[in-house]
Amino acid sequence: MLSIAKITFREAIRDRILYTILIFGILFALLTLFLAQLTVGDLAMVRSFGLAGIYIFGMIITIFLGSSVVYREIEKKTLYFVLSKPISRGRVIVGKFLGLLFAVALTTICMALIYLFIIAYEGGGIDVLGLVSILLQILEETLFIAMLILFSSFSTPLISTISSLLLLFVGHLLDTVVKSAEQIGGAIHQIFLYASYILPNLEKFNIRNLVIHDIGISFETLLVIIGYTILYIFIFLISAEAIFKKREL
Amino acid sequence: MKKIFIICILLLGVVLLQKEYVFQKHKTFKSRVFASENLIKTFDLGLHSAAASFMWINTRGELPFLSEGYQKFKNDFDVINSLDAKLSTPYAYTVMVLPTTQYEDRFNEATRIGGEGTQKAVPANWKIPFYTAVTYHLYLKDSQKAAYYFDIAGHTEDVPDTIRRFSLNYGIYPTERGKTIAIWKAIYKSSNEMSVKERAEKYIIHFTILDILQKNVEIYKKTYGTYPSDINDLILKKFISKIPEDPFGFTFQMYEGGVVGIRGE
Repeated sequence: MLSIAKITFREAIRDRILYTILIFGILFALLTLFLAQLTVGDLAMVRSFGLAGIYIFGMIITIFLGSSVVYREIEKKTLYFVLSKPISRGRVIVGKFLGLLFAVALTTICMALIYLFIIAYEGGGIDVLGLVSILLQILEETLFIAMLILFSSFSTPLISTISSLLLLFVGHLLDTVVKSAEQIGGAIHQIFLYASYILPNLEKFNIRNLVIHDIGISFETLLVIIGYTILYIFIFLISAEAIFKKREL
Repeated sequence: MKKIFIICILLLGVVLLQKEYVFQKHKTFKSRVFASENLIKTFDLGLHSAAASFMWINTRGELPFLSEGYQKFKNDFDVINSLDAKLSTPYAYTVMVLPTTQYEDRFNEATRIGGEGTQKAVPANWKIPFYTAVTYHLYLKDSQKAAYYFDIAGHTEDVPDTIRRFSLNYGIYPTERGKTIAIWKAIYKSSNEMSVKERAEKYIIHFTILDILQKNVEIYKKTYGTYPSDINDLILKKFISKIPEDPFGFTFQMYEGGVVGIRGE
């Protein structure tokens, strides 16, 4: 399983498009130095731009790498070689998940280091709360990787990408939609309320709007978010394994 | 040669079209509208603060040039504010620049924004209450509100020392001091907040000490014919037993013409 993770990791970091996105991410992070001048040194704004850049490029990398991870192996028929060894399909799924997770986490950490340097350069010291926010971003990316592996186990990269993008928007909108539906009340409110409990509610990973104002979250909340992520990862990976097992290669 | 000529002509066309584009863009600049708050919130993936910051960078340039009306800036400001009400720079910059556009109807708007920013901005930014106070003092001639906001500015964390000293000593001049004490007495009576009452008490003590010292200086002059060269002369000549302790930690000293004030930086 670990060797599959290693191979997946190596494949991911060898991808030239990954570097292109990463370079754009780093350039965006550096752009915040210029934006800092425009905001007359308002650190909250500099932080908001920096964290937004890391998030957007981090999610692009996640979706790009994750959408084709299993599908590509099937298309290239390299999976036949892997499955000819004494290794279960479940382990292949978990290996892919871990390999991708390391690659995505590494790229996010690279951007985070540049962000931290910029904030320190602008006089903000070590942005500990910013780091917590980036940790939650990595958790969101982890959830997304598991979800993309599930999608990738039964659909094409294009469909996986579109579905994950939709879920990304829906996941961040759920809280707002529930609040709006609350004003309407009745069955509509109940439907959206239940949906917000079942669908991946991604706003809980978003503390960027708080941390830029030096407002953190409690340790208990952090634990709840970690628990939420772990449960969802299991749901997605078990489902992916079940689908993958039934799939005729 | 023919091809080079054609390329040059085409390039000239490109330059002319670019020039026209810049002109068109300039013409349509004023009608530019930002998306509504709901639309931004739908598509910004929860990055409300970043969206607000980006909008502010675009909007702030309009502020010094509001000769044709305030409404568009106000609409944009309201969207920025609803995206992230805690961002301090939009409040601080607006309350600083808006009154200088010299339209009377905007003074009240500046103080409204200043009041809102003083409450909502995180972390607190001294510029918001300070410029709100300045607007109240200079344009609206409301000394009570000015004193209230100068006090908040003076007690904000990270306030520069010069601003702190200025703010906490608003209305210190001997000719204004009676009025300033009356203002703080009114604030004390009208406020229900304990912290405001405590601070009002401090101001009343601060200015009363100055008044007492000033009165003793006048008695000193009547007795000796000259003003004391040092505030401690009042103790040496037994006019007072000690210099009272200032609630804000300032030390007192004599200035030219027998005026008692606080020690400079």
